[in-house]
Amino acid sequence: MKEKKIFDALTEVREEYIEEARTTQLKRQPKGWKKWTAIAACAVIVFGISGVLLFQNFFPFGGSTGSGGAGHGENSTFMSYAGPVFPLTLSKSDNSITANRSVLYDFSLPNEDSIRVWGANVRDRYTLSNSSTEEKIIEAIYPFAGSFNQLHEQMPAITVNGQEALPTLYAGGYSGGFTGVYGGNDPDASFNILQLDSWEGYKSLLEDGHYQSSAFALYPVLSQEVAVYTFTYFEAPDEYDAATQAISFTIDPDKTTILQYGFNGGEIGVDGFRRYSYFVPNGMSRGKRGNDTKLLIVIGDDITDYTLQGYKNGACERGNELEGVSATVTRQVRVMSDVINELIDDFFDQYGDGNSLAVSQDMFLGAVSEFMVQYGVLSESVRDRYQHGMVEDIISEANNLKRVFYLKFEVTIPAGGSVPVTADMHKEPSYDFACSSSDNKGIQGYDMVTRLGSNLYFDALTAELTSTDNIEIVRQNYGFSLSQEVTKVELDPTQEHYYLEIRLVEH
Amino acid sequence: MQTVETVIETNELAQVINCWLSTLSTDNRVLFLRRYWFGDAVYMLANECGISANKMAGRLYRLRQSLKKALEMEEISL
Repeated sequence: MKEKKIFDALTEVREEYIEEARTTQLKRQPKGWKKWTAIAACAVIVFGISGVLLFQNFFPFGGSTGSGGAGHGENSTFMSYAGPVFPLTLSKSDNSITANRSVLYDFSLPNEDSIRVWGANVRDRYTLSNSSTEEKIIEAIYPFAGSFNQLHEQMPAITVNGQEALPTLYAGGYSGGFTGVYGGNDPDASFNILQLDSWEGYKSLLEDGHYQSSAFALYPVLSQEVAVYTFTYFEAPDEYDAATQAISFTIDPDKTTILQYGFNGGEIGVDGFRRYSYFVPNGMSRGKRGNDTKLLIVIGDDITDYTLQGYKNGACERGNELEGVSATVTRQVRVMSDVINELIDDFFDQYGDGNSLAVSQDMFLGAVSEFMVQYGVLSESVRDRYQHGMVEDIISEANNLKRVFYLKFEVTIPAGGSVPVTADMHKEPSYDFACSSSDNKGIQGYDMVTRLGSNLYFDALTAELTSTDNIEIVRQNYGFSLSQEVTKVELDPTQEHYYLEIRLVEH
Repeated sequence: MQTVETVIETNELAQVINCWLSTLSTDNRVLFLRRYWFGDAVYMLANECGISANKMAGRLYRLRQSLKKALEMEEISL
Protein backbone atom coordinates (compact mmCIF):
# COMPACT_ATOMS: atom_id res chain seq x y z
CA MET A 1 0.00 0.00 0.00
CA LYS A 2 1.09 3.48 -0.85
CA GLU A 3 0.86 4.86 2.68
CA LYS A 4 2.63 1.80 4.10
CA LYS A 5 5.56 2.33 1.71
CA ILE A 6 5.78 6.01 2.57
CA PHE A 7 5.44 5.21 6.25
CA ASP A 8 8.17 2.58 6.14
CA ALA A 9 10.44 4.95 4.25
CA LEU A 10 9.74 7.83 6.62
CA THR A 11 10.92 5.74 9.54
CA GLU A 12 14.30 5.76 7.87
CA VAL A 13 14.51 9.56 7.76
CA ARG A 14 17.80 10.65 9.24
CA GLU A 15 17.66 11.12 12.97
CA GLU A 16 19.29 14.52 12.80
CA TYR A 17 16.38 15.74 10.68
CA ILE A 18 13.87 14.45 13.23
CA GLU A 19 15.79 16.07 16.05
CA GLU A 20 16.05 19.27 14.02
CA ALA A 21 12.28 19.26 13.46
CA ARG A 22 11.65 18.56 17.12
CA THR A 23 13.79 21.41 18.38
CA THR A 24 13.53 24.09 15.69
CA GLN A 25 10.93 26.84 15.81
CA LEU A 26 9.37 27.62 12.45
CA LYS A 27 10.16 31.08 11.14
CA ARG A 28 7.33 33.57 11.36
CA GLN A 29 6.35 35.41 8.21
CA PRO A 30 6.65 39.21 8.37
CA LYS A 31 3.50 40.68 9.86
CA GLY A 32 2.87 42.75 6.76
CA TRP A 33 1.92 39.54 4.96
CA LYS A 34 -1.11 38.94 7.04
CA LYS A 35 -4.36 39.87 5.44
CA TRP A 36 -7.03 39.21 7.99
CA THR A 37 -9.81 41.03 6.26
CA ALA A 38 -13.04 39.30 5.42
CA ILE A 39 -12.09 36.18 7.32
CA ALA A 40 -11.03 37.87 10.51
CA ALA A 41 -13.99 36.57 12.47
CA CYS A 42 -13.75 33.06 11.12
CA ALA A 43 -11.81 29.98 11.97
CA VAL A 44 -10.21 28.96 8.70
CA ILE A 45 -9.51 25.32 8.35
CA VAL A 46 -7.82 23.43 5.63
CA PHE A 47 -8.95 19.87 5.55
CA GLY A 48 -5.72 18.03 4.91
CA ILE A 49 -7.28 14.82 3.75
CA SER A 50 -4.90 14.30 0.86
CA GLY A 51 -1.86 14.64 3.05
CA VAL A 52 -3.20 13.11 6.20
CA LEU A 53 -4.64 10.09 4.49
CA LEU A 54 -1.41 9.41 2.73
CA PHE A 55 0.53 9.35 5.92
CA GLN A 56 -2.05 8.61 8.54
CA ASN A 57 -0.89 5.12 9.37
CA PHE A 58 2.59 6.35 9.99
CA PHE A 59 2.15 9.01 12.56
CA PRO A 60 3.18 8.20 16.09
CA PHE A 61 -0.41 7.88 17.24
CA GLY A 62 -0.34 7.24 20.93
CA GLY A 63 3.29 8.02 21.29
CA SER A 64 6.00 10.38 20.26
CA THR A 65 9.68 10.36 19.70
CA GLY A 66 10.18 10.82 23.36
CA SER A 67 7.74 8.26 24.67
CA GLY A 68 9.59 5.05 23.98
CA GLY A 69 11.88 3.19 26.25
CA ALA A 70 10.34 4.23 29.50
CA GLY A 71 8.80 1.44 31.46
CA HIS A 72 6.10 0.77 33.97
CA GLY A 73 7.14 -2.10 36.12
CA GLU A 74 10.17 -3.52 34.36
CA ASN A 75 8.75 -3.75 30.87
CA SER A 76 8.94 -1.04 28.24
CA THR A 77 6.35 1.40 27.01
CA PHE A 78 6.50 1.25 23.24
CA MET A 79 5.59 3.97 20.76
CA SER A 80 3.44 1.52 18.85
CA TYR A 81 1.64 -0.84 21.18
CA ALA A 82 0.15 -3.98 19.69
CA GLY A 83 -1.95 -4.91 22.72
CA PRO A 84 -1.66 -8.07 24.77
CA VAL A 85 -2.76 -11.61 23.98
CA PHE A 86 -6.00 -11.97 25.93
CA PRO A 87 -7.44 -15.05 27.64
CA LEU A 88 -10.47 -16.98 26.48
CA THR A 89 -13.71 -16.26 28.30
CA LEU A 90 -17.29 -17.55 28.34
CA SER A 91 -20.45 -15.61 27.49
CA LYS A 92 -21.85 -16.83 30.84
CA SER A 93 -19.76 -17.69 33.84
CA ASP A 94 -19.87 -21.43 34.69
CA ASN A 95 -18.21 -22.78 37.82
CA SER A 96 -18.10 -26.32 36.46
CA ILE A 97 -15.81 -25.31 33.57
CA THR A 98 -12.09 -24.93 34.18
CA ALA A 99 -9.22 -24.35 31.79
CA ASN A 100 -5.60 -25.25 31.30
CA ARG A 101 -3.88 -22.70 29.08
CA SER A 102 -0.61 -22.89 27.17
CA VAL A 103 0.75 -20.05 25.04
CA LEU A 104 3.34 -20.75 22.36
CA TYR A 105 5.38 -18.02 20.63
CA ASP A 106 6.92 -19.16 17.36
CA PHE A 107 9.64 -16.83 16.06
CA SER A 108 10.36 -18.57 12.78
CA LEU A 109 10.93 -16.50 9.64
CA PRO A 110 7.61 -15.82 7.90
CA ASN A 111 8.81 -17.41 4.66
CA GLU A 112 12.03 -18.32 2.88
CA ASP A 113 12.29 -14.86 1.30
CA SER A 114 12.07 -13.10 4.63
CA ILE A 115 15.18 -11.53 6.02
CA ARG A 116 13.94 -10.85 9.50
CA VAL A 117 11.48 -11.98 12.10
CA TRP A 118 8.69 -9.45 12.56
CA GLY A 119 6.00 -10.60 14.91
CA ALA A 120 5.36 -14.05 16.26
CA ASN A 121 3.00 -16.85 15.37
CA VAL A 122 1.08 -17.37 18.56
CA ARG A 123 -0.78 -20.54 19.46
CA ASP A 124 -3.02 -19.89 22.45
CA ARG A 125 -4.25 -23.34 23.48
CA TYR A 126 -6.84 -24.25 26.10
CA THR A 127 -8.14 -27.50 27.48
CA LEU A 128 -11.63 -26.84 28.78
CA SER A 129 -12.85 -29.35 31.35
CA ASN A 130 -16.40 -29.97 32.50
CA SER A 131 -16.57 -31.24 36.09
CA SER A 132 -20.37 -31.54 36.12
CA THR A 133 -22.43 -34.64 35.48
CA GLU A 134 -24.12 -33.28 32.39
CA GLU A 135 -22.94 -32.29 28.94
CA LYS A 136 -22.32 -28.55 28.62
CA ILE A 137 -22.86 -26.48 25.50
CA ILE A 138 -21.11 -23.21 26.16
CA GLU A 139 -20.45 -20.04 24.18
CA ALA A 140 -16.74 -19.26 24.26
CA ILE A 141 -15.39 -15.82 23.43
CA TYR A 142 -11.86 -15.12 22.25
CA PRO A 143 -10.81 -11.44 22.37
CA PHE A 144 -7.99 -9.93 20.33
CA ALA A 145 -6.65 -6.42 19.77
CA GLY A 146 -6.70 -5.15 16.22
CA SER A 147 -8.19 -2.80 13.68
CA PHE A 148 -10.49 -3.28 10.71
CA ASN A 149 -7.75 -2.33 8.25
CA GLN A 150 -5.45 -5.12 9.46
CA LEU A 151 -8.06 -7.69 10.27
CA HIS A 152 -7.06 -10.04 7.46
CA GLU A 153 -3.67 -10.50 9.13
CA GLN A 154 -4.81 -10.29 12.75
CA MET A 155 -7.86 -12.55 12.86
CA PRO A 156 -7.13 -15.68 14.92
CA ALA A 157 -8.11 -19.07 13.50
CA ILE A 158 -10.12 -21.03 16.05
CA THR A 159 -10.26 -24.79 16.31
CA VAL A 160 -12.44 -26.81 18.69
CA ASN A 161 -11.54 -30.43 19.23
CA GLY A 162 -9.23 -30.21 16.22
CA GLN A 163 -12.00 -28.98 13.92
CA GLU A 164 -12.04 -25.51 12.46
CA ALA A 165 -14.68 -23.42 14.19
CA LEU A 166 -16.73 -20.78 12.40
CA PRO A 167 -16.92 -18.05 15.01
CA THR A 168 -18.98 -14.90 14.79
CA LEU A 169 -16.97 -11.69 14.89
CA TYR A 170 -17.95 -8.74 17.08
CA ALA A 171 -16.11 -5.45 17.26
CA GLY A 172 -15.75 -3.27 20.32
CA GLY A 173 -15.51 0.49 19.88
CA TYR A 174 -12.29 2.48 19.50
CA SER A 175 -10.16 1.45 22.46
CA GLY A 176 -8.15 4.64 22.93
CA GLY A 177 -8.83 8.28 23.62
CA PHE A 178 -7.93 11.75 22.43
CA THR A 179 -5.50 14.42 23.47
CA GLY A 180 -4.41 17.95 22.66
CA VAL A 181 -2.04 19.04 19.96
CA TYR A 182 1.67 18.32 20.23
CA GLY A 183 3.20 20.92 22.49
CA GLY A 184 -0.19 22.31 23.48
CA ASN A 185 -1.26 22.74 27.07
CA ASP A 186 -5.02 22.32 27.00
CA PRO A 187 -5.78 19.18 29.02
CA ASP A 188 -9.31 18.94 27.63
CA ALA A 189 -8.38 19.27 23.97
CA SER A 190 -9.12 16.32 21.72
CA PHE A 191 -7.46 17.13 18.42
CA ASN A 192 -5.16 14.13 18.34
CA ILE A 193 -5.51 10.41 18.70
CA LEU A 194 -4.21 8.80 21.89
CA GLN A 195 -4.16 5.04 21.40
CA LEU A 196 -3.60 2.72 24.33
CA ASP A 197 0.10 2.19 24.95
CA SER A 198 0.16 -0.35 27.78
CA TRP A 199 -1.57 -3.43 29.09
CA GLU A 200 -2.76 -1.33 32.01
CA GLY A 201 -4.65 0.78 29.48
CA TYR A 202 -6.44 -2.34 28.31
CA LYS A 203 -7.05 -3.27 31.94
CA SER A 204 -8.83 0.04 32.55
CA LEU A 205 -10.81 -0.46 29.36
CA LEU A 206 -11.96 -4.00 29.98
CA GLU A 207 -12.05 -4.79 33.66
CA ASP A 208 -15.58 -3.59 34.41
CA GLY A 209 -17.04 -5.58 31.49
CA HIS A 210 -18.86 -2.61 29.96
CA TYR A 211 -16.69 -2.46 26.83
CA GLN A 212 -17.26 -6.12 26.05
CA SER A 213 -21.02 -5.98 26.60
CA SER A 214 -21.20 -2.91 24.33
CA ALA A 215 -19.33 -4.87 21.65
CA PHE A 216 -22.15 -7.42 21.59
CA ALA A 217 -24.89 -4.76 21.49
CA LEU A 218 -26.52 -3.61 18.24
CA TYR A 219 -24.92 -0.76 16.35
CA PRO A 220 -26.75 2.58 16.15
CA VAL A 221 -28.73 3.02 12.92
CA LEU A 222 -28.57 6.44 11.29
CA SER A 223 -32.17 6.40 10.18
CA GLN A 224 -32.76 10.16 10.10
CA GLU A 225 -33.58 11.90 6.85
CA VAL A 226 -31.01 14.42 5.70
CA ALA A 227 -30.63 16.84 2.81
CA VAL A 228 -27.73 15.87 0.57
CA TYR A 229 -26.12 18.43 -1.75
CA THR A 230 -24.07 16.65 -4.40
CA PHE A 231 -21.53 18.43 -6.62
CA THR A 232 -20.96 17.17 -10.17
CA TYR A 233 -19.94 18.39 -13.63
CA PHE A 234 -16.99 20.47 -12.53
CA GLU A 235 -15.64 23.26 -14.72
CA ALA A 236 -12.63 25.54 -14.32
CA PRO A 237 -10.25 27.38 -16.65
CA ASP A 238 -7.44 25.04 -17.75
CA GLU A 239 -4.65 27.44 -16.84
CA TYR A 240 -5.47 27.34 -13.12
CA ASP A 241 -4.11 24.08 -11.68
CA ALA A 242 -5.51 24.73 -8.23
CA ALA A 243 -8.79 26.40 -9.18
CA THR A 244 -11.12 26.23 -6.22
CA GLN A 245 -14.87 26.14 -5.88
CA ALA A 246 -16.42 27.36 -2.65
CA ILE A 247 -19.95 27.16 -1.36
CA SER A 248 -20.97 29.48 1.44
CA PHE A 249 -24.09 29.87 3.53
CA THR A 250 -25.22 30.69 7.05
CA ILE A 251 -26.83 28.26 9.49
CA ASP A 252 -28.12 28.29 13.02
CA PRO A 253 -25.60 25.91 14.64
CA ASP A 254 -28.17 24.89 17.24
CA LYS A 255 -30.53 23.65 14.54
CA THR A 256 -28.28 22.51 11.73
CA THR A 257 -25.25 20.24 11.56
CA ILE A 258 -23.17 19.84 8.42
CA LEU A 259 -21.21 16.79 7.33
CA GLN A 260 -18.90 17.08 4.37
CA TYR A 261 -17.17 14.67 2.03
CA GLY A 262 -14.58 15.47 -0.64
CA PHE A 263 -13.85 19.03 0.45
CA ASN A 264 -10.38 20.48 1.05
CA GLY A 265 -10.96 23.63 3.06
CA GLY A 266 -13.48 25.61 4.98
CA GLU A 267 -14.31 28.47 7.27
CA ILE A 268 -16.51 28.37 10.32
CA GLY A 269 -17.75 31.71 11.57
CA VAL A 270 -19.04 32.36 15.05
CA ASP A 271 -22.19 33.81 13.52
CA GLY A 272 -23.10 30.58 11.75
CA PHE A 273 -21.28 31.45 8.53
CA ARG A 274 -19.94 28.39 6.75
CA ARG A 275 -17.77 28.11 3.67
CA TYR A 276 -16.62 24.78 2.24
CA SER A 277 -14.23 24.64 -0.68
CA TYR A 278 -12.58 22.06 -2.90
CA PHE A 279 -9.96 22.08 -5.60
CA VAL A 280 -11.76 21.58 -8.88
CA PRO A 281 -10.84 18.00 -9.86
CA ASN A 282 -7.59 17.96 -11.84
CA GLY A 283 -7.78 21.74 -12.02
CA MET A 284 -9.17 21.55 -15.51
CA SER A 285 -12.48 21.51 -17.28
CA ARG A 286 -14.46 18.37 -16.97
CA GLY A 287 -17.59 17.71 -18.92
CA LYS A 288 -18.60 14.82 -16.75
CA ARG A 289 -18.22 13.64 -13.23
CA GLY A 290 -14.84 12.29 -12.35
CA ASN A 291 -13.87 10.03 -9.50
CA ASP A 292 -14.19 12.87 -7.03
CA THR A 293 -17.30 12.63 -4.93
CA LYS A 294 -18.12 15.85 -3.19
CA LEU A 295 -21.18 16.35 -1.09
CA LEU A 296 -22.57 18.10 1.93
CA ILE A 297 -24.99 16.39 4.28
CA VAL A 298 -27.33 18.72 6.14
CA ILE A 299 -28.78 17.35 9.38
CA GLY A 300 -31.65 19.28 10.95
CA ASP A 301 -32.90 22.51 9.44
CA ASP A 302 -31.96 22.73 5.78
CA ILE A 303 -29.77 25.51 4.43
CA THR A 304 -32.00 28.12 2.86
CA ASP A 305 -29.65 29.83 0.48
CA TYR A 306 -26.09 29.37 -0.66
CA THR A 307 -23.52 31.11 -2.85
CA LEU A 308 -21.04 29.46 -5.18
CA GLN A 309 -17.77 31.27 -5.92
CA GLY A 310 -14.67 30.25 -7.82
CA TYR A 311 -11.13 31.17 -6.74
CA LYS A 312 -7.73 30.96 -8.43
CA ASN A 313 -6.43 28.66 -5.68
CA GLY A 314 -7.26 27.46 -2.20
CA ALA A 315 -7.10 30.97 -0.75
CA CYS A 316 -10.80 31.88 -0.76
CA GLU A 317 -10.16 35.57 -0.26
CA ARG A 318 -11.43 38.78 -1.77
CA GLY A 319 -9.35 39.68 -4.82
CA ASN A 320 -8.60 36.04 -5.58
CA GLU A 321 -11.91 35.28 -7.28
CA LEU A 322 -11.94 33.45 -10.59
CA GLU A 323 -14.61 33.42 -13.27
CA GLY A 324 -15.45 30.24 -15.12
CA VAL A 325 -15.48 27.90 -12.12
CA SER A 326 -18.71 26.00 -11.82
CA ALA A 327 -20.36 22.80 -10.71
CA THR A 328 -23.83 21.34 -10.79
CA VAL A 329 -25.34 21.11 -7.31
CA THR A 330 -28.25 18.76 -6.78
CA ARG A 331 -30.29 18.37 -3.61
CA GLN A 332 -31.89 15.13 -2.46
CA VAL A 333 -33.55 14.07 0.77
CA ARG A 334 -32.17 10.69 1.81
CA VAL A 335 -31.77 8.37 4.76
CA MET A 336 -28.40 9.09 6.33
CA SER A 337 -27.21 5.49 6.64
CA ASP A 338 -27.75 5.01 2.88
CA VAL A 339 -25.57 8.02 2.15
CA ILE A 340 -22.83 6.93 4.55
CA ASN A 341 -22.89 3.44 3.06
CA GLU A 342 -22.26 4.87 -0.41
CA LEU A 343 -19.48 7.06 0.94
CA ILE A 344 -17.82 4.01 2.49
CA ASP A 345 -17.80 2.44 -0.99
CA ASP A 346 -16.41 5.62 -2.47
CA PHE A 347 -13.80 5.95 0.25
CA PHE A 348 -12.40 2.48 -0.38
CA ASP A 349 -12.55 3.05 -4.16
CA GLN A 350 -10.43 6.18 -3.75
CA TYR A 351 -8.15 5.33 -0.85
CA GLY A 352 -8.37 1.59 -0.34
CA ASP A 353 -5.54 0.82 -2.76
CA GLY A 354 -7.27 -2.36 -3.84
CA ASN A 355 -7.74 -3.65 -0.30
CA SER A 356 -11.16 -4.90 0.60
CA LEU A 357 -12.97 -4.88 3.90
CA ALA A 358 -12.38 -7.98 6.00
CA VAL A 359 -15.93 -7.77 7.34
CA SER A 360 -19.35 -7.30 5.84
CA GLN A 361 -20.13 -3.76 4.78
CA ASP A 362 -23.11 -3.82 7.14
CA MET A 363 -20.78 -4.44 10.05
CA PHE A 364 -18.38 -1.71 8.97
CA LEU A 365 -21.27 0.72 8.41
CA GLY A 366 -22.31 -0.07 11.98
CA ALA A 367 -18.81 0.64 13.27
CA VAL A 368 -18.66 3.93 11.33
CA SER A 369 -22.10 4.90 12.63
CA GLU A 370 -21.03 4.05 16.18
CA PHE A 371 -17.84 6.10 15.81
CA MET A 372 -19.85 9.04 14.48
CA VAL A 373 -22.29 8.86 17.37
CA GLN A 374 -19.56 8.44 19.98
CA TYR A 375 -17.05 11.01 18.75
CA GLY A 376 -18.27 12.80 15.61
CA VAL A 377 -20.75 15.59 15.06
CA LEU A 378 -23.62 13.34 16.13
CA SER A 379 -22.03 12.91 19.55
CA GLU A 380 -23.14 14.78 22.64
CA SER A 381 -19.44 15.36 23.20
CA VAL A 382 -17.97 16.08 19.77
CA ARG A 383 -14.21 15.61 19.79
CA ASP A 384 -12.22 18.59 18.48
CA ARG A 385 -10.75 16.33 15.81
CA TYR A 386 -14.13 15.76 14.18
CA GLN A 387 -15.83 19.12 14.75
CA HIS A 388 -15.66 19.98 11.05
CA GLY A 389 -17.79 17.01 10.07
CA MET A 390 -15.39 15.36 7.62
CA VAL A 391 -16.89 11.98 6.84
CA GLU A 392 -13.53 10.80 5.45
CA ASP A 393 -11.99 11.19 8.90
CA ILE A 394 -14.72 9.13 10.49
CA ILE A 395 -14.49 6.32 7.93
CA SER A 396 -10.71 6.35 7.94
CA GLU A 397 -10.38 6.26 11.69
CA ALA A 398 -13.11 3.70 12.23
CA ASN A 399 -11.03 1.62 9.84
CA ASN A 400 -7.57 2.31 11.24
CA LEU A 401 -7.87 2.80 14.97
CA LYS A 402 -7.35 -0.07 17.36
CA ARG A 403 -10.17 -1.80 19.14
CA VAL A 404 -10.83 -5.15 20.75
CA PHE A 405 -12.57 -7.73 18.60
CA TYR A 406 -14.34 -10.80 19.91
CA LEU A 407 -14.79 -14.20 18.26
CA LYS A 408 -17.76 -16.09 19.66
CA PHE A 409 -18.19 -19.80 19.06
CA GLU A 410 -19.90 -22.81 20.58
CA VAL A 411 -18.10 -25.59 22.45
CA THR A 412 -19.72 -28.84 23.58
CA ILE A 413 -18.00 -30.51 26.54
CA PRO A 414 -19.18 -33.94 27.66
CA ALA A 415 -19.93 -34.61 31.33
CA GLY A 416 -16.65 -35.08 33.14
CA GLY A 417 -14.77 -34.61 29.89
CA SER A 418 -12.39 -32.14 28.26
CA VAL A 419 -12.18 -30.40 24.89
CA PRO A 420 -9.16 -28.61 23.38
CA VAL A 421 -9.68 -25.13 21.94
CA THR A 422 -6.94 -23.38 20.00
CA ALA A 423 -6.51 -19.84 18.73
CA ASP A 424 -3.74 -19.42 16.13
CA MET A 425 -2.71 -15.95 15.05
CA HIS A 426 0.14 -13.83 13.84
CA LYS A 427 0.85 -11.27 16.53
CA GLU A 428 2.50 -8.04 15.48
CA PRO A 429 5.02 -6.76 18.03
CA SER A 430 4.99 -3.56 19.99
CA TYR A 431 7.95 -1.42 18.91
CA ASP A 432 9.59 1.99 18.83
CA PHE A 433 9.89 3.80 15.52
CA ALA A 434 13.12 3.20 13.67
CA CYS A 435 13.64 6.92 13.21
CA SER A 436 13.29 7.73 16.89
CA SER A 437 16.12 8.25 19.32
CA SER A 438 14.77 5.56 21.61
CA ASP A 439 17.03 2.98 23.22
CA ASN A 440 14.36 0.45 22.31
CA LYS A 441 14.86 0.67 18.57
CA GLY A 442 14.81 -2.84 17.15
CA ILE A 443 13.16 -4.37 20.18
CA GLN A 444 9.89 -6.25 19.74
CA GLY A 445 7.53 -6.47 22.70
CA TYR A 446 4.89 -9.12 23.35
CA ASP A 447 2.43 -8.86 26.21
CA MET A 448 0.09 -11.49 27.57
CA VAL A 449 -2.62 -11.06 30.18
CA THR A 450 -3.90 -14.00 32.16
CA ARG A 451 -7.24 -13.01 33.65
CA LEU A 452 -8.26 -9.68 32.18
CA GLY A 453 -11.83 -9.83 30.87
CA SER A 454 -12.13 -13.56 31.55
CA ASN A 455 -14.62 -15.35 33.79
CA LEU A 456 -12.84 -18.71 33.38
CA TYR A 457 -10.93 -20.35 36.18
CA PHE A 458 -7.45 -21.30 34.99
CA ASP A 459 -5.87 -24.12 36.96
CA ALA A 460 -2.63 -24.19 34.96
CA LEU A 461 -0.76 -21.88 32.64
CA THR A 462 2.39 -22.58 30.63
CA ALA A 463 4.33 -20.65 28.01
CA GLU A 464 6.77 -21.87 25.38
CA LEU A 465 9.09 -20.40 22.77
CA THR A 466 10.08 -22.08 19.51
CA SER A 467 12.31 -21.17 16.56
CA THR A 468 14.43 -18.91 18.73
CA ASP A 469 17.57 -19.09 16.55
CA ASN A 470 17.04 -15.57 15.24
CA ILE A 471 16.21 -13.82 18.50
CA GLU A 472 17.60 -12.96 21.90
CA ILE A 473 15.56 -12.00 24.94
CA VAL A 474 16.10 -8.48 26.21
CA ARG A 475 13.53 -8.30 29.02
CA GLN A 476 10.91 -10.71 30.33
CA ASN A 477 9.12 -11.94 33.42
CA TYR A 478 8.48 -15.50 32.22
CA GLY A 479 11.66 -17.24 33.32
CA PHE A 480 12.87 -18.35 29.87
CA SER A 481 16.60 -18.82 29.37
CA LEU A 482 17.68 -19.36 25.78
CA SER A 483 21.31 -19.93 26.77
CA GLN A 484 20.26 -22.71 29.14
CA GLU A 485 17.64 -23.97 26.69
CA VAL A 486 14.77 -23.19 29.04
CA THR A 487 12.08 -22.51 26.46
CA LYS A 488 9.06 -23.87 28.31
CA VAL A 489 7.94 -22.53 31.67
CA GLU A 490 5.06 -22.93 34.07
CA LEU A 491 3.46 -19.67 35.05
CA ASP A 492 1.32 -18.42 37.89
CA PRO A 493 -2.23 -18.04 36.50
CA THR A 494 -3.00 -15.46 39.17
CA GLN A 495 -0.27 -13.11 37.99
CA GLU A 496 -2.04 -10.63 35.76
CA HIS A 497 0.58 -9.84 33.15
CA TYR A 498 3.57 -11.40 31.44
CA TYR A 499 5.88 -9.60 29.04
CA LEU A 500 8.57 -10.65 26.63
CA GLU A 501 10.90 -8.30 24.78
CA ILE A 502 13.21 -9.64 22.13
CA ARG A 503 15.62 -8.38 19.52
CA LEU A 504 16.96 -10.05 16.42
CA VAL A 505 20.43 -11.54 16.41
CA GLU A 506 22.82 -11.36 13.45
CA HIS A 507 24.26 -14.65 12.33
CA MET B 1 5.84 -9.28 6.95
CA GLN B 2 8.67 -7.85 4.88
CA THR B 3 10.25 -9.56 1.92
CA VAL B 4 13.67 -8.79 0.51
CA GLU B 5 11.97 -6.86 -2.29
CA THR B 6 9.92 -4.66 0.00
CA VAL B 7 12.92 -3.93 2.22
CA ILE B 8 14.95 -2.88 -0.82
CA GLU B 9 12.06 -0.76 -2.11
CA THR B 10 11.71 0.89 1.29
CA ASN B 11 15.42 1.60 1.49
CA GLU B 12 15.44 3.14 -1.97
CA LEU B 13 12.45 5.26 -1.14
CA ALA B 14 14.02 6.31 2.16
CA GLN B 15 17.22 7.31 0.38
CA VAL B 16 15.33 9.50 -2.06
CA ILE B 17 13.31 11.10 0.73
CA ASN B 18 16.47 11.77 2.76
CA CYS B 19 18.16 13.20 -0.32
CA TRP B 20 15.15 15.36 -1.11
CA LEU B 21 14.99 16.58 2.50
CA SER B 22 18.64 17.61 2.27
CA THR B 23 17.81 19.91 -0.66
CA LEU B 24 15.18 21.81 1.33
CA SER B 25 15.72 24.89 3.42
CA THR B 26 15.80 24.15 7.14
CA ASP B 27 12.43 25.81 7.56
CA ASN B 28 10.77 23.72 4.86
CA ARG B 29 12.40 20.53 6.13
CA VAL B 30 11.21 21.24 9.67
CA LEU B 31 7.76 22.08 8.35
CA PHE B 32 7.48 18.85 6.35
CA LEU B 33 8.53 16.66 9.26
CA ARG B 34 6.42 18.55 11.77
CA ARG B 35 3.38 17.85 9.57
CA TYR B 36 4.10 14.35 8.30
CA TRP B 37 6.27 12.83 11.00
CA PHE B 38 5.01 14.49 14.15
CA GLY B 39 1.46 14.95 12.83
CA ASP B 40 1.08 18.59 13.84
CA ALA B 41 -2.18 20.12 12.63
CA VAL B 42 -2.11 22.53 9.70
CA TYR B 43 -3.69 25.35 11.63
CA MET B 44 -1.17 24.94 14.44
CA LEU B 45 1.74 25.20 12.02
CA ALA B 46 -0.01 28.17 10.42
CA ASN B 47 -0.30 29.88 13.80
CA GLU B 48 3.38 29.29 14.50
CA CYS B 49 4.35 30.86 11.18
CA GLY B 50 1.82 33.66 11.50
CA ILE B 51 0.07 32.84 8.24
CA SER B 52 -3.40 31.61 7.36
CA ALA B 53 -4.20 27.90 7.33
CA ASN B 54 -4.99 28.22 3.62
CA LYS B 55 -1.52 29.53 2.92
CA MET B 56 0.03 26.86 5.07
CA ALA B 57 -1.88 24.21 3.16
CA GLY B 58 -0.59 25.70 -0.06
CA ARG B 59 2.97 25.56 1.25
CA LEU B 60 2.55 21.93 2.28
CA TYR B 61 0.96 21.15 -1.08
CA ARG B 62 3.99 22.57 -2.85
CA LEU B 63 6.28 20.49 -0.65
CA ARG B 64 4.34 17.33 -1.48
CA GLN B 65 4.47 18.18 -5.17
CA SER B 66 8.20 18.72 -4.86
CA LEU B 67 8.61 15.31 -3.21
CA LYS B 68 6.43 13.72 -5.87
CA LYS B 69 8.63 15.25 -8.56
CA ALA B 70 11.76 14.00 -6.81
CA LEU B 71 10.31 10.49 -6.68
CA GLU B 72 9.30 10.64 -10.33
CA MET B 73 12.80 11.76 -11.30
CA GLU B 74 14.13 8.64 -9.62
CA GLU B 75 11.45 6.64 -11.43
CA ILE B 76 9.86 5.59 -8.17
CA SER B 77 6.16 5.03 -8.44
CA LEU B 78 3.97 4.40 -5.41
